[in-house]
Formats: sequence, structure tokens, C-alpha cells
Amino acid sequence: MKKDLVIIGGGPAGLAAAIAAKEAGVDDLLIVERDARLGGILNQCIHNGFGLHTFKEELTGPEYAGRYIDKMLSLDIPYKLNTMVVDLSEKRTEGENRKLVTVMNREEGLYTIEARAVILAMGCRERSRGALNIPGYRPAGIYSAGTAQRYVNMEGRMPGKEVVILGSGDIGLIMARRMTLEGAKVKLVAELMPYSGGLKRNIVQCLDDFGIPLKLSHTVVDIKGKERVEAVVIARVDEHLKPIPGTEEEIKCDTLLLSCGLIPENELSESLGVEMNPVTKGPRVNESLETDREGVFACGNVLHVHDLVDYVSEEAAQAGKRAAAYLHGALKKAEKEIPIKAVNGVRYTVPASVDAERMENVQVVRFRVGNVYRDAAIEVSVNGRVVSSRKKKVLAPGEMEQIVLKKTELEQVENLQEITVAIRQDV
Amino acid sequence: MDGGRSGKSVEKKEFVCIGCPLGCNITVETEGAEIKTITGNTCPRGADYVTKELTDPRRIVTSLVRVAGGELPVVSVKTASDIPKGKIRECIKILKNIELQAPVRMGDVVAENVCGSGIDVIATRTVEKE
Repeated sequence: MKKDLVIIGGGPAGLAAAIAAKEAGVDDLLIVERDARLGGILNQCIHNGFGLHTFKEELTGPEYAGRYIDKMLSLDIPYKLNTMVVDLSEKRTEGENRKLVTVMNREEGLYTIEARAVILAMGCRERSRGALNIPGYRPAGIYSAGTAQRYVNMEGRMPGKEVVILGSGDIGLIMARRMTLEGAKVKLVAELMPYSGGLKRNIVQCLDDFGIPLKLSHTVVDIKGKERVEAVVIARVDEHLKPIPGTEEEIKCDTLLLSCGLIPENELSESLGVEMNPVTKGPRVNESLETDREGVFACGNVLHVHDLVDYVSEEAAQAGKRAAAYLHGALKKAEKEIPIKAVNGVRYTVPASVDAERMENVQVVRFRVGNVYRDAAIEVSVNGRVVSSRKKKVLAPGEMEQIVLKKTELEQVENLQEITVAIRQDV
Repeated sequence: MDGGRSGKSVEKKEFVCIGCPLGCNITVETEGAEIKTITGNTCPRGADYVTKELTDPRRIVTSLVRVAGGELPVVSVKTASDIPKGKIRECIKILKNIELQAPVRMGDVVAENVCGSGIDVIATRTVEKE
């Protein structure tokens, strides 16, 4: 099978990318989705708060996904469900670079699609217990928050009755409320860091509203119970995040939920040999959301973990548009990629570079900070000279930030060498 | 800070707005039941939110309702707009006692005038027949 464009993943990123590509004139495209339905993780995010930026109303996850699915269906964009991409590679045919997307499903078996361009939109997954190194037994009753969310919200099953949540990421906070409303007793949320990894609004409406304590600078140091979780031991940690002896406290519970961060799911990107960013654990992309492999674009949580789905959709639409330009021969080769350096508290930027000639008039650059900053400023420098400084009352790792680069301004700079994004305190 | 100006009965309260993910830190100064100043909000929704939090706190409730004969055993639902915060538990209880028959369409009314709030609970996804 041959396709102009294959989009791997039918979640919010894949849907928005496909719609944008189709609207930009790519007709020969295909979305490949491994789940039984489109919409990705939004299907299990039944809480509200999605789409405020995009639709100016507060939607639930399934409703937000529904808007894009309807749009996609109305555009007759083909898709395959229950289909897993098992390998991604490339080959040169008649001077043109082709991507080989090997897929598998029950009806058609294993086969390879030859694509002229690919958009990576595989999303991310949760950090598991194995990745967290929590000592103790391996009894039943330990779930990632997202797994519990799927059980409760899509399968109508409760994972337990007395719950401790480790990690204050948004899914953990949302699940604290969800489990409480479903009749469980959520005893506490323990967070290793001195600040929450989730959105402030979720602390208010998911914990404070229900009197669930949030214990900052605490972690789980032991899990008790052989067959089923019987208790967890939490302890305070010092400034080096090491548990402080003597601060242990045993909390009786039958369930431990882990909400300890998300990791972009990039096995396929790696099998293709795409250059990765060690900070985001996603591909390194330029202003066109193109990886270092020609014709391979990336967007959404596979690229970097977003706080809001609205930004995923926005970014993905950009990837779709750029992939269309590539397919139409309208995206000229990147020649003068100027690196965007993330310094002084800025952990990374997406994109990681811009080409002033290739970029659109306005380029949004998104990033996260590595710590909580108060009364600080986001400072952008070009060739070492500060060109903009925007004051922020609070900057926190749980929230994505952005700056905007203007083509007209960058084009005026003589001998453009580098752009830096930094956090300045004492402003 | 404009210290010194205020009378002794002025009380300060801090809120985190839940109107959107920005989560503005909003400070409200009240004198008795009267709101004197609202600061820290980025948009008018923030002022509305704290005014409501002080007088009539409300939340949109999202939950599930059981579905018989559907592709999924549950359908996600929400209150069409926010209901009084004190009625969340009662609302959830009512929803627990409902069982729908598939198919359920996104936007279908699942429970009318829930807890006498004047607000309906609606389905937020479609669940087809199995």
C-alpha cells in the first residue's frame, strides 16, 4: 500500500494533524490508531475543562474529541482502528525518500505502508512503579492513575476503596476527586517535590473541595501487604529528595495510585533513528515540527508533554499544515536553522530551532520551567541582546509557558546566530 | 500595597480561580458581606468566580451513569452548567441510581432538574448498542 501521508495515532494530536493536512490539500492520507476508537486518552478524561482556548467553552474530554472526530469524518479522512504500527523505517527509492510504516491488525495481518511523509502523534504514557523504584512487595492494588481512570470511567469498575495517591500530576488530582465521588476514601496525595506537578485549579477543585490533604515533600518508602496492598509508608524528604529517617508514617489503604509523570512514547521514533531531545524525551524538531528525518513530523505529547489539549491541537494542526507543504514541494529545505537555547530555568523549547526564512509570520515557542519562580520574567535574547521580557507573577513546572517569535523581527537581525529563552529573577 | 487606607473590619481572602487552567491567584477584600476590591484576576471570569465562591459556590459535576446493552458499560455525563457545591454528593447519588438503555447520544438528557437545581445532567459521549 502507498500513501502520501500516514499519521500514527488517532488521539487529539493525530486528529488535528489529519484535519489540517486534509484541509491543506492532502487527500491520500491515513490515520492509524491502535485502540478500538478514535480520541485517545480524551475518551477516559470525563472531567470538564477542555477546549476553553479553542472553543471558548468548557468541554469534557469525550466532547472535545467528538468535535474533532466529527470534523474528521465530515472530511472523509480514512482511518484504521485496532491497528498497531510495529515498525518505522525509511528507504530511498528513485532518489525519493520513503517511510516504511509496518502495521498489524487482526483482519489484514502484518503489512507495510509506503509513505511519502509521516506524522508522529503517538502521545505519551505514564511512569510506572518499575521506573520509580519503590521498595516493598508487589501486591495487587497498585495502579498508574491513568489505568485506574480507564477502569473507572470506561469500564465502570472501582480499583479499590481506600486510596493513597503518589504524585500530584493532573491525572492523580483528577482521580482523587473521581474516586471520592465514586465512594472511595482518598486518604492523601503525597508529592515528592515541594510543589505540585498539576494545575492549580485541580488542587482547588479536586483536593480542597473534598478535604483531601496534599503532602508536599513526601514520598512512599514502603508498600505493605503480600496479596493485596494493606498499607503504604510515607516519609518526608529533605532538600535532596531523600527520605528523612524518623518521619515515616503508615497509612492503611488497599490501593496505591501513581501519578508520577508522563513519558513521550517514542519507540517508533527511535526505531527510525530520529534525533531525540534528552530533556523532553521526544524528537528534536525545528519550526516546522519536522524531525531530523526528512518528511517526518511530530506533534502532541509524543513531542513534549503538554498541560492543555488545546495546545496539542494547535501544535498538531501546524504539523499537518507543514507536512502538506512538504508533500506539495512548498517546504524548502532547512538551511539556516538557528538554535533556540533554553537556559536559566527554562528546561527545553519546542521547537528547538527556527529558520527565519521557513518560519511563518508568527512562531509560538513552548517550554516548561524547572522550578517554581515568583515575580520573575521570561526573557528572549537574539545574538545575546535582550529583545523581549515578559513579567510573570508565578512560573511553575506544572504549566507550559510560551513566547512568540516574529519573522519580521528575526529577518532584520544581521548574522542571526542564536536565540535564547531564559528566566530572570529580581525584576 | 495600599496599606493604611482600609478600615479595621476589612477582611482579605485569597482564592485560586478555577475558571481556566491559568489558575489566577485572586485577592478579595470584604467588609462584612460587601466585596470591596478584587485583584489578581486576568479576566472578568475571575471576578465572577470569587464573587460566586463568596456567595454561592458552584461546580460543574462530571460523573458516570450505567448503560445496559451498550458498547461500554457506562456513559460519561455532566451537569449542563454548574450546580451548588453543597449538592455535589446528592447529585452523584441520584446518578448512581440511573440505568440507561443503549444507544445513548452525546447531549441526551440523563436526569432533569437534578437536586432541584434547575439544571439537567447530559451525556458527554455516545454509547452505541453492543
